[in-house]
Amino acid sequence: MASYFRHLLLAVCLAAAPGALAAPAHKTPAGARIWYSPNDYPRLALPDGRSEIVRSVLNITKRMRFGDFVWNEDRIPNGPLWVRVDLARQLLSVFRGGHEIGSAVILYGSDGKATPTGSFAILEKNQDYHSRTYDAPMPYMLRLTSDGVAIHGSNVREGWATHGCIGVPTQFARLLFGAAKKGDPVLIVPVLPGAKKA
Amino acid sequence: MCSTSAFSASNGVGNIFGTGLLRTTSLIRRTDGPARFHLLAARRSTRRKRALLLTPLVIGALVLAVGQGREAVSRVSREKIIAALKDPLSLFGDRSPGERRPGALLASKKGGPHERVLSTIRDRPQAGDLPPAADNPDFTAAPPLFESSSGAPPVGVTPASGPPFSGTPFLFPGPPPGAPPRGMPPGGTPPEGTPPGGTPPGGTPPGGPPPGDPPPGGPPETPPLPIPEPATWTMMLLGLLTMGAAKRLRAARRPR
Repeated sequence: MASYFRHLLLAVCLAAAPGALAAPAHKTPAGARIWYSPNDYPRLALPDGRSEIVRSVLNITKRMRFGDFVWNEDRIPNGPLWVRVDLARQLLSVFRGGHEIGSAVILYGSDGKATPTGSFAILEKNQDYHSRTYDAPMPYMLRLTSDGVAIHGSNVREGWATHGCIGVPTQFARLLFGAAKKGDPVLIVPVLPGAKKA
Repeated sequence: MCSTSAFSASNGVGNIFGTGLLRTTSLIRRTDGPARFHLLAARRSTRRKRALLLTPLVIGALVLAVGQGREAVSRVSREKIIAALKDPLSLFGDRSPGERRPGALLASKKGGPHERVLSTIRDRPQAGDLPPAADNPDFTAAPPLFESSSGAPPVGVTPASGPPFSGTPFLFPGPPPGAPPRGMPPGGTPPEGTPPGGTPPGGTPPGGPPPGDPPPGGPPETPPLPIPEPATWTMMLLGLLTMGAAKRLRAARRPR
């Protein structure tokens, strides 16, 4: 009887402990998106000195792995699209009308062939591009510079890099290719030396 | 209370012994068979009743404590959560796989130029022209390190106080005409007091060779090294011993 009572007490404690500790710490808003208050939209600083307001972001609670991406444009109205490429965090985010509709882990240029940073515009779209320089397929290519730097579908694996392009998972590249049009801004945030990790 | 309730729950036991005031412990000690079983069942029933009374109290206290703990935790962390949610960069950092490790130089494009190592060399600017020859020191004018038989002492070597050696350096002096073969003194038999090793080869008189004389037996040669070298053997044996010691230590520390 005593052991039964002890086990009952232990079970009650174990059942209550995670709820007591974890429930308030991960009190994320319901739904697949974090909506900000219209009175207090946060702003994202851009490398060209401007800043853009953010109305909502995707609610991704787990750490993304190489090859992962999220695309969710439900209930998001049409609006200006812009792309933010964060080299330090190895992330790309697609915003439409201030709402984040897509995010993916990227590959970027190696140390010898660094990815340029700053503000760019999409110069060319080509669904089935094949690089002459590298004799390599670059599906769903969005060209950013005249010397060939582009966002394109790639095999995103840990430890890999590009020759300056921004590689995204091919399925994500297809979605981005469908959403973006020529002239849309792409802002590549540089890796700041000694930057504090968020 | 325990004994009373046990006794009242087992009236049959009391009737068997004819006494109603026996304590439970003595009953258990004196009884056997079915009576003992009934007493144990009565004791279990008492404990169960007590546990049933206490359980709601304990559960209530726990719920109260958990609720207060949750309130405290939520009060502390609510502001932090709101601040983190306000900052999209904080959310990006949470989902990010992290910063790229240095040395990620592989390319995702297949078949392209392989520039992992050579790119940096190829892009490196050419070094400037060499300085004019007049700026360089003339190494050809430096005196030779070793002098031949011309008589001048070598650079950095002071001549000995004795008469200078006039023989040809690094040449084994041949035995004088009529000398006995090597290892034998001129007299034929070794003289008294000669060390058992015999005299030095070449018939050198006792007292050692004259200063500056080349070493006997020709020019010195580097002895062939044993393969593998002793240092290699030592390192290998030390490594094996270290591995064995580590394994034994780990096995000794492991709980059995």
